[in-house]
Amino acid sequence: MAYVAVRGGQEAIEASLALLAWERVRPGCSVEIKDIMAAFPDLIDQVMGESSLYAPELAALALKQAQGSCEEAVFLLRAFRSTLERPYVSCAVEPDAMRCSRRISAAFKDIPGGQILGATRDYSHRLIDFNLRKESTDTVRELRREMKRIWKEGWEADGLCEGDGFGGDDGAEAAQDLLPEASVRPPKKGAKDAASPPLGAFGRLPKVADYLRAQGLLAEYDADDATPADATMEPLVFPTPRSMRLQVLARGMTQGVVALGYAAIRGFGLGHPTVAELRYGEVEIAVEHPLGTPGASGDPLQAGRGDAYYLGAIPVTEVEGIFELEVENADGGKEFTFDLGYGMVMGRGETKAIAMSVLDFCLRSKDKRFPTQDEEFVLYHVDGIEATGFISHLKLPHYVTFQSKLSSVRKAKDLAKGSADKPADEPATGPADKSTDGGEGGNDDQAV
Amino acid sequence: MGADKELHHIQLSFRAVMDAMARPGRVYGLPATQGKKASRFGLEGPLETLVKMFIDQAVSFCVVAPDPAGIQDAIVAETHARTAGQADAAFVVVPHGCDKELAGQAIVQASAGSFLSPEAGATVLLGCERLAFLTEREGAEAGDASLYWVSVEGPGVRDSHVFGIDCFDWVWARKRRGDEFPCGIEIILVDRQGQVAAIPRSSFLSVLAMEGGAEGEEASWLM
Amino acid sequence: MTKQYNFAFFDEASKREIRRAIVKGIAVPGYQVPFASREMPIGRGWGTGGLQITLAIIGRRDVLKVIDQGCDESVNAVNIKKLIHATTDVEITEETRRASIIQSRHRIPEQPLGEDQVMVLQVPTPEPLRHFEPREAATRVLHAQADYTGAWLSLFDQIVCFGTTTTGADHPVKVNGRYVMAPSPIPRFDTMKLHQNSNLTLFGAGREKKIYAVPPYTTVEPLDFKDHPFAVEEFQGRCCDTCGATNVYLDETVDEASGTAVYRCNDTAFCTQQAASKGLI
Repeated sequence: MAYVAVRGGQEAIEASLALLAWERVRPGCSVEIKDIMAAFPDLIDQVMGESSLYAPELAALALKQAQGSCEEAVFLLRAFRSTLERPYVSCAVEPDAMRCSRRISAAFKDIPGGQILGATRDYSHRLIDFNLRKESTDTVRELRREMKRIWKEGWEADGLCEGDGFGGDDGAEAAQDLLPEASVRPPKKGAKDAASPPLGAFGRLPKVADYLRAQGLLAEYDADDATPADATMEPLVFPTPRSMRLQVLARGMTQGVVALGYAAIRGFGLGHPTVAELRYGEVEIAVEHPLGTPGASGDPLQAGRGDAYYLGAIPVTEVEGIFELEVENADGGKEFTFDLGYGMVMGRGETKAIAMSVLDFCLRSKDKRFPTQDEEFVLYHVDGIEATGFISHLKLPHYVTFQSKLSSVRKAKDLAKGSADKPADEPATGPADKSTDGGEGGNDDQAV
Repeated sequence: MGADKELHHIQLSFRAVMDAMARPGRVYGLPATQGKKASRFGLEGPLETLVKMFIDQAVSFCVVAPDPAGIQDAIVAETHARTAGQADAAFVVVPHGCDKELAGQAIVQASAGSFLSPEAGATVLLGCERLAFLTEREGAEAGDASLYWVSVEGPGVRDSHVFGIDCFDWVWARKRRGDEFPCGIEIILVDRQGQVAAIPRSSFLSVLAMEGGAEGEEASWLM
Repeated sequence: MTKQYNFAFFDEASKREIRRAIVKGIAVPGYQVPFASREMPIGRGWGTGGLQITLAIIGRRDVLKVIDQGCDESVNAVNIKKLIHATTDVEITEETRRASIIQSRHRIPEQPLGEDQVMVLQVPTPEPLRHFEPREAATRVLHAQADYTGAWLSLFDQIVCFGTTTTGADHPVKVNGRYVMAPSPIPRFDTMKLHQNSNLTLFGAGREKKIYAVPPYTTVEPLDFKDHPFAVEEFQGRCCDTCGATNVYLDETVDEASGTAVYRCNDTAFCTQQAASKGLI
């Protein structure tokens, strides 16, 4: 009865923690936070996104402590996040002002501003690159220098080069400089559609959806810049406002959101969308002064918008998916129109962002034929901390509740046995059978 | 008070309020504040403690006064809470010395919540002059007309709790609301010395006849 | 840890949120108050609801007892105590009588509690109607309308099928004549300890984001039928193998040598105290 928690729990925990610590140090080598940040930016994005906290360095630290377990790193970061006050809500972010380093549309071949394929694995071959085995920091730097040189020459030839956009060319540059660099990475030369704009044109790119909207093909909504609901500050109450649904999906377990989004387009949902636009890049975050900025009159209440503080920029992936929608027209007949499903996640999480846009659309439906259209089903179960916590709590001792259950089942069995022993005029088979077949049936609220 | 000191002060105060809510009509003392410091909100110290205990950016509140703007702005600036009308505010703050009619109106109007969300019923933080628990009653001088004795029954009370208070208009105002449980409001009474008593919506109140006390209205009223 | 956390882990805004929910919970006995449950450094389903309540109410002068399945030294109880102690430095005790706050999973101590003690119960599934209605929006309406037909029917159904109710722990109760409430998975043996008790009991469900309460001296009635009255777990004629106590909740263990069942007090602190007073240890 080694694990039986009756006595010695304290010692058992201490020993277990020591063992855990041992497992982390046993290999005898360490990895620096900056190396984790440099080597695993996508993993860091996923951890930050599921934690609802933009903190690359802390995410890397959490991953180190968690020995690479994404689930555990998110857990650490979320628990840290809940000790932070949230004093401000940022100004509304306008994603059409995103500094895009990737932007594609599956709906139109030519889009205003052009498609930017950017860096993607979509068209890579998933073959293990055995050369990476021999890679060292020196060879990486050498490769970096070489790639920069080739591109620079190309741009100079095209007359595009004003400042190389790469930062210093110093090979000894700190590795974390790679991160900001990645987000302004220019389109590859000769990328698809050859629509790559010059570096100087990175700026406001029109939304593909606006084109459809201008043609009257998209359902119209008023802009809603109301302070969004925050699932970390107020309880989920159903029906939830859309802002809260989007937040819960955005911080949902990546694979959980993807699985449910997949179910929705495969048949347990509302059909197959067309990605109007997927863009990845940086958006600027700003907050207004909580009391307004004193205007010329000196009256804080008179201060208008525009006097906001710029906090910085974060990388996000945004997806607008187009769905067909049947609506009633003015004559009472049916007609088809389009509506959007929306997805936005922190960093580079394209599959999740697309799945999120699918679920966003599904959850706005009043029809609840499929679980993917039921917000309680989706929103309660995509949260990683809650799912993993409750699943793993099954490992906790349940001696008391099981004893209680035992007592009930024994009593029911005894009763059934008693009635089976009775003379034949009382048909005892029903209850007796049931109680033997499913002693625990009929009551699902077992103790947990 | 330093942030850390204030944290412990608020914690002890909350326990007094929690106990008061769990045992309606029993009077508890908030911990004394050391080093008298001018209120930042323009409220009596004990009432300010209650405001800081409950009000922040996640909730709405209102202050009941002929001109509440000054106090409200001060609370908003410090807590980032939002103000709301008396019928909508989650917390209704009635400062000490508030006009009785205004206070009564605020209690009548305060949000009752709904059957679906009874927790949306308002909490009224009501400043009063003096609170006293039953034990003081025996000691009260005959003819002391300064206190009315209110008897409380309901969850949290074994038989009945009796406490003394300098005013009872709020009892009438509460009765006038005609709430149907589970809708209703909570009233947290706090006197100038930092004594608190709480009246949750689940309580039944009656004002007891006072020997030689409160003029005229000798009968015991069941609220 | 280099990073210093606030007293009792939470920032003050989180404590305010939990405190507001506690006040409303006490005011409407048995009603599940939704609250913005915080993410905790321990797993969801591992007592985060109870832990959040404890951290929101605890102060430097408190004396804390934490039990899990009746035991102070159970791994999860130890873990929770460790976190609370690390962030508050409060005194920890195993003696029920000495504790001002008792956080527990699945048991109420055998030793009756006093007026100055707060019982905090960890709740995995706060919704007593969940097993026949999976949707939160729907169960909220049932509570609003006090429509508890479904709760009664499922008990009735058990009687029809098995000749008895087959609820284990967490037998549903009606509080203050109004709300049907899940008393958390305490055994039926403990259910009546909630009725007209002298202490305040707070229930916290972290994952499901609900806080509710049974104030002192409040009526708590288990749902039952006149001809099938509520019955607690039976330990007919059995007593604790260690301290000899009867009329307590017993753990059943198997004696490895003889292969027979052996019974011991589930409440280990109570057992130790009984054994000591009888000079057995």
